[in-house]
Amino acid sequence: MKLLSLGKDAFQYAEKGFNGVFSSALNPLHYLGALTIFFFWVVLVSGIYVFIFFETSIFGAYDSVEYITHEQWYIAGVMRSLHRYASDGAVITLVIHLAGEFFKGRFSGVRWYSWLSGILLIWFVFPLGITGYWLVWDQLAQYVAVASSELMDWLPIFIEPMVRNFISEESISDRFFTLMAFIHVLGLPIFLIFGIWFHVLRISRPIVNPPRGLAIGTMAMLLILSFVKPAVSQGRTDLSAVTGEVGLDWFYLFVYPLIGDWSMGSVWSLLLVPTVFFCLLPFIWPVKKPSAAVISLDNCNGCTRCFDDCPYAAVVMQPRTDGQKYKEEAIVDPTLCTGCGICVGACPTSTPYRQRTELIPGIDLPDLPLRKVREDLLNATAPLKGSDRVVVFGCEHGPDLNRLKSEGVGVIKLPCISMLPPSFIDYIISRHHAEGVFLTGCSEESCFHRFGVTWMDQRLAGKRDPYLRKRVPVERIEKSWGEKTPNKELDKAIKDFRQRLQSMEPIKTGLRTTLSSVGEE
Amino acid sequence: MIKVFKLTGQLGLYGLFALVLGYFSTEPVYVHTTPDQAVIRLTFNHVGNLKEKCRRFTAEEIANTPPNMRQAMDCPRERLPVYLEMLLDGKQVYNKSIKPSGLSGDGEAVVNEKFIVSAGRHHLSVRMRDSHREQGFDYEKSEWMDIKSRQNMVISFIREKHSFVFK
Repeated sequence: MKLLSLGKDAFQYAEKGFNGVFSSALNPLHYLGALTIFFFWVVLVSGIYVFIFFETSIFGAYDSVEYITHEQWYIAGVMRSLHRYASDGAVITLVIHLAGEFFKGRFSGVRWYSWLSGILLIWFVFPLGITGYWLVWDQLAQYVAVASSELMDWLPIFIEPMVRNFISEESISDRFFTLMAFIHVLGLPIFLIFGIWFHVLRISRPIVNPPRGLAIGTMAMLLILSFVKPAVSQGRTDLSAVTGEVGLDWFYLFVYPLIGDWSMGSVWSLLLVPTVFFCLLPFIWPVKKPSAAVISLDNCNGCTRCFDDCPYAAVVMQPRTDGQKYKEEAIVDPTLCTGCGICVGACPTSTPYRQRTELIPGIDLPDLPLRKVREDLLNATAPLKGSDRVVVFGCEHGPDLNRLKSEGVGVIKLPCISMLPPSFIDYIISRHHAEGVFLTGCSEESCFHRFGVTWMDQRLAGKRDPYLRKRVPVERIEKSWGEKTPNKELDKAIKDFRQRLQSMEPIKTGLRTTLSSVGEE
Repeated sequence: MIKVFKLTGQLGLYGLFALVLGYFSTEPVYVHTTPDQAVIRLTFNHVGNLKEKCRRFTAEEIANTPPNMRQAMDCPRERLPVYLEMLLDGKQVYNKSIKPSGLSGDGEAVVNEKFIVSAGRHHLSVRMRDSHREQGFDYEKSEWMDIKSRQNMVISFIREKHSFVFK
């Protein structure tokens, strides 16, 4: 737990630092999965071009790669380098992506599926890279072929040891080499594409492409590197001799030096034990699963906003079943729902103004009904004093809120900031419950519930339903995104906000609501 | 000013990423074998003799067998394990009894071992037993070998010639 917390802190500080350099919208740490896929596309396109000139036979492979590298260096050679460096880049982004998701705890609960499929994807990525080195059929390829075969021979799969294919020039089989080419060029890439599809299948709006600016910057970096240090072969194979010094690609072949020094059982254990552990992690990790959101059909008009906003595709629409005039109704898949409440914030019936009937929105959280949120709000604001009263809304993954409570500041914690319907902000200000509303939460582009901060920003800006009403003075709303915002910065932001509120004209409209007036006393 | 700082920072981070990619894609160089080393690979498949000889079923056994399954001879498929030794400069570096492969133990015994040795002149002996004999060997070969730097020397067994090959 401690390690997880330290890792999370380190990751978030790095994100904050990168935000300063790239801006949040182009921060590579927010697009690690998308960058990995982007690298894969570069690998695919460059690989297809290189394959045109590649000879898939053991006797012609080396010479064809030499032609690619030296004769047609200006296109095929660059493509070869791009192929290598994009493959290596994918390993870096993949590992950081994995570490980030791990430290942020995004592996348990409903996220088990993406986590597990991601771990299994690694077992396609590495063989894909390793078989690629095999095909060059240079000294490194010889080393990789022999060491890989020795590793595979430890498994009780083959009766005939695989390594015998590489012990002498006579033993080498062109057919075996062609098989490796087939696995690298067609077999593994197809599995990988399907694997990526499976990986993002259970999340809505998966981000599979990095923003254009980041993609251009990354591509330019790869191109410059390809010209500065082109990928070259390491001398023709000689099976009568064992390989001496080889320039290893440590991103893919970091385990290989152990093949000579450790027992094969230990090497396999090093590979399999962490894999099994990480595969089982979502199921052995203690997780408190909140109750899934529930639909109140009497209040659901089938507007699809909850369906549109759910980050986990847990809400689906189906034809109306209760005979009401609306075309569709929402239903919740409890196995996918994380109880983030984003759907509640999206529902047009989530309005705190309802007094004559009980506040039950079309979709609600059993663990924190919207009625309770209004009750908490009224309780938190009732004792506030002064002409600069502020209600701070935050999420479970944002800064510590209790610390902020004071005579003029009330706090409300939600599972995700996007659970807050904009009408609540209108309600607070127009009904004089406070002079200002302060919103905090996760980092932009790195929200724990994926789109919480984005949806809230868009709702406030009038770009996403439900909009914040135009009558709400936006100067009375302040935001501070970033769960690792230092206390001092947050305190100063709230203090400055309150000072600004003092200098504003008093709000004229509305009557203050009390618990008794909404029947909650 | 902030824009210049951001641009410099971005260039620096892209550059760092490229540096890491460029360096670790080939460096540091890994020394798989040093020039004073060589490898001897002992690798071949060999079928041991049958564990039991064929025998004629007794009349009683035949009578107890269903008529459609009756046959005169009983020939068990199981093979003997192959015992193999290797000596380098008179010192035993390998000895193992290798079981036949297959669920019924009727397949080939698979030998596949790697020895890292120093390059230079060595006396090499390999001997194998695949029969019922308790002592001695059915096949044996000894030879002085000049093993070159980083040579990949293969010791195999040619079944047709009943002989080891050092190559």
